[in-house]
Amino acid sequence: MTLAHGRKAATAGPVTDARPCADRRVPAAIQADAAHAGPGGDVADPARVVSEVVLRVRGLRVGFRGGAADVVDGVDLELRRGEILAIVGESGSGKSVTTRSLVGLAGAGARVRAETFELFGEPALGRSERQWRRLRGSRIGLVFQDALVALDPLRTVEAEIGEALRELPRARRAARVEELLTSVGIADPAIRKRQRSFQLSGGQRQRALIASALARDPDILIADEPTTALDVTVQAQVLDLLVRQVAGGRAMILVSHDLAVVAAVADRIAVMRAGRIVEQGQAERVITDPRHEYTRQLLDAVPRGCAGAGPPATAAPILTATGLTKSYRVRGRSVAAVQDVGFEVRAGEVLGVVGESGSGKSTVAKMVTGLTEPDAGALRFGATDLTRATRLPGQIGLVAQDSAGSFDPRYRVGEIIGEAVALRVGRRERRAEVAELLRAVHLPADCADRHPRELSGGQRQRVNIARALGSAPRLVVCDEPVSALDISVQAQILALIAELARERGVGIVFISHDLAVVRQICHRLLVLHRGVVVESGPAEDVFTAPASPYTRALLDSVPRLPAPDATESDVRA
Amino acid sequence: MTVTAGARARVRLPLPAPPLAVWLAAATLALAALAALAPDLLAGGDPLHTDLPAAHRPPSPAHPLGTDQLGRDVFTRIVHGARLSLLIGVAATALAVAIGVGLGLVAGIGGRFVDAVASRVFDLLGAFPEILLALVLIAFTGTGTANLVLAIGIAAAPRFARVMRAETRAVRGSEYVAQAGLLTRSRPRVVVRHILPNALRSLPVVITLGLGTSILGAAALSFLGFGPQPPEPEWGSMLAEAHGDLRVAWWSVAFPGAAVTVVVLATTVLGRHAGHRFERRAQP
Repeated sequence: MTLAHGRKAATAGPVTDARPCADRRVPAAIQADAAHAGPGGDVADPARVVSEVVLRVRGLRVGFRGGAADVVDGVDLELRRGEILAIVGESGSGKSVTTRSLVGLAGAGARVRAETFELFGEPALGRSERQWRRLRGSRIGLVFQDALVALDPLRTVEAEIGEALRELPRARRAARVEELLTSVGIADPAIRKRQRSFQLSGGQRQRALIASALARDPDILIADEPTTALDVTVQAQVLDLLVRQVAGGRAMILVSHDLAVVAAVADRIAVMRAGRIVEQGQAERVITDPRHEYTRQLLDAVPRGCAGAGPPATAAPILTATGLTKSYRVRGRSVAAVQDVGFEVRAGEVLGVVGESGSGKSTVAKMVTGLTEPDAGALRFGATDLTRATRLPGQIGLVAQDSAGSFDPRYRVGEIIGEAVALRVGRRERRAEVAELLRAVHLPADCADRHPRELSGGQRQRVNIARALGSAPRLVVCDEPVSALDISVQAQILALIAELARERGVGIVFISHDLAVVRQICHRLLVLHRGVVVESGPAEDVFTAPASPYTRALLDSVPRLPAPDATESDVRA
Repeated sequence: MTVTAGARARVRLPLPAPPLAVWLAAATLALAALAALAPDLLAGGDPLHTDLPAAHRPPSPAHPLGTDQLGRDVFTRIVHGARLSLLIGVAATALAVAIGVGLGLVAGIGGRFVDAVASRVFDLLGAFPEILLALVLIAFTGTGTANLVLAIGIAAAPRFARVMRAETRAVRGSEYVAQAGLLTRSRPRVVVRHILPNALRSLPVVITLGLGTSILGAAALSFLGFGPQPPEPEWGSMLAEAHGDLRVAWWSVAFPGAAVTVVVLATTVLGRHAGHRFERRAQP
């Protein structure tokens, strides 16, 4: 944090100069923080200014036109200078609506009410859209999850960030943009600023978005799932960058579904569920000593622990891959997606294939399921040679991430599973078999007559698994099967997949970017980096004693929850 | 740990009621369809009955839309003309859809070469205005109702083929088709069970819009004398027969023209509305 102080002092000048006169009190606050940070400040009472409440809301209620109940139902929050407040909750908990309402972005048709709602000590209810816009431009910065959407693809990074700097003279604007880009850790700012959002990598895009949020040196930074779309190593860097922005008296609200991410950086945590805050307190206390049942459930659902050894290495493998290589042609050039990848899967074993985006893990999935033919190498499935994309109907199942997109939109659940079942049983037994499979994935039998879009994400993923099992395959490829799910649902689906491997003796290739998930479920691991296997072996060995520097870097980037109190976990167990 | 189904079932918001224009359009088309199927219910007279002494009579209680140069009742002829005009439009559209869906599907599921060849053919045909293409075809086939249907149908086909090709491509690349591929060795089965039905989902919108164009094209070609021959009542040929009398009897030109305009407008309004509904429904 001290690092950012120095930078702040250097960058604050031109921006505060550019502010309209009404906002003159901000430099004072910054000076106060300088005083707080160390000797040399000249403000008499730094403590008072530092703990100044910038946002206070009591009994916040937000409802939408046509909706019967309030989506946000009586939320109390307080945000002080220099602190990070994390709002955590699963999808539909109201965390995003809450934060958006706090900056006047609840949207048309929303009804925002509160007992008290103050921003910077002034009442904020009933502000006009114009007033909100001025506030958001200068004193509140916003960072959203999807920088590709948040940044205009037709405009350069410079134009995008420069938008917030219109009050600066044109000549100084370019320099300021470069300065901002440098401060968010973008190398070659002079080149990057002329590029457009789609020319940047995900991490750079998120940095650019943060730079534009910081352009006017706001007092509050609001980040809604800022790292959710990023690879784990990039996530760690972006989180670090965000945390450094809080130094110097800036306050931040960090919205996330991921307790582990939040635990690492937040000062205080508010856990939301169904529009209410069920628990709020110091981050460490909430994580190590949760008082509310729901917080405990969330913490328990965080994947931890390991799957153990799995079937013995002497058992005959059902799938053997050797020297798999695949390259794609991109604008006339050949780009290697996968190079010389080899592995084995045994019955009842879960093999984890881990890597960041672009590591080639999806290409491996495509080759195993026969959707793509390898350029070189061999793929043997039992006695069959799969190398030439041979189709073995029903012998290899696939569970994809996007469960909604993997169902024919015209089909009901019964028909979806029935199509797989039809490969091995006659028309008459089909219904009974479908019911049996629904039971196996813990779904009620009446699901068969429903449409997938009527189901929740977790239920859809269960249907997906039931279909993959429908043809009684010996191998199931799971491609990021839980990345789109809420954490408590994720835990249930992981348990289900583990159960299938154990009880049905199905071999599973589990592809994921999430190391914590992989550790919980996989017996053996394959770590991919730029299409090459950098490490493989029993999962526990890879996690406890990683041999390759890349694996080590990957493991270090994973946000981790502090170990819960020993006594506490004993009580729970 | 049974999960209760539908605990979070997504509620589908009801679509707003269609605006008045859509109701009017639907009513217009229903009326036109009634005229085509049972003209005697709307106008009992004989559309071919001539009455030379009563030629060029302005609209009156006896002849609500006046009479033409041979003293035939314009209203009766318009009502009876709906059959041929709509028949040509509908038949031509049906032909265009059949050709377009077939070619579009082949281009969509075919390999790169097949797709490239088919697409260039669509581009080539699409480069000509439909009416011009139909005229060229008539030059080969000769005049008459059947040839008119053929000409308009072929000329309109590329539009449907393009839509079908794009839809087929999109569906083909979808996750559920990949899943279906894992479960069967038979590619045609995947095409028939998954790709075709899903690619067809957006077609009703294009068909409705295409219907109007075909009806207009049919009327235009009949006006030029390439369609049904006199004295057969047909909106386009009625215009052709009467257009010389515009100064003396505006009604014998204006009302058949209005019939074409109103029907084409109605299909467009309905088609656009269907398109909006489709887009809303397609949203996740």
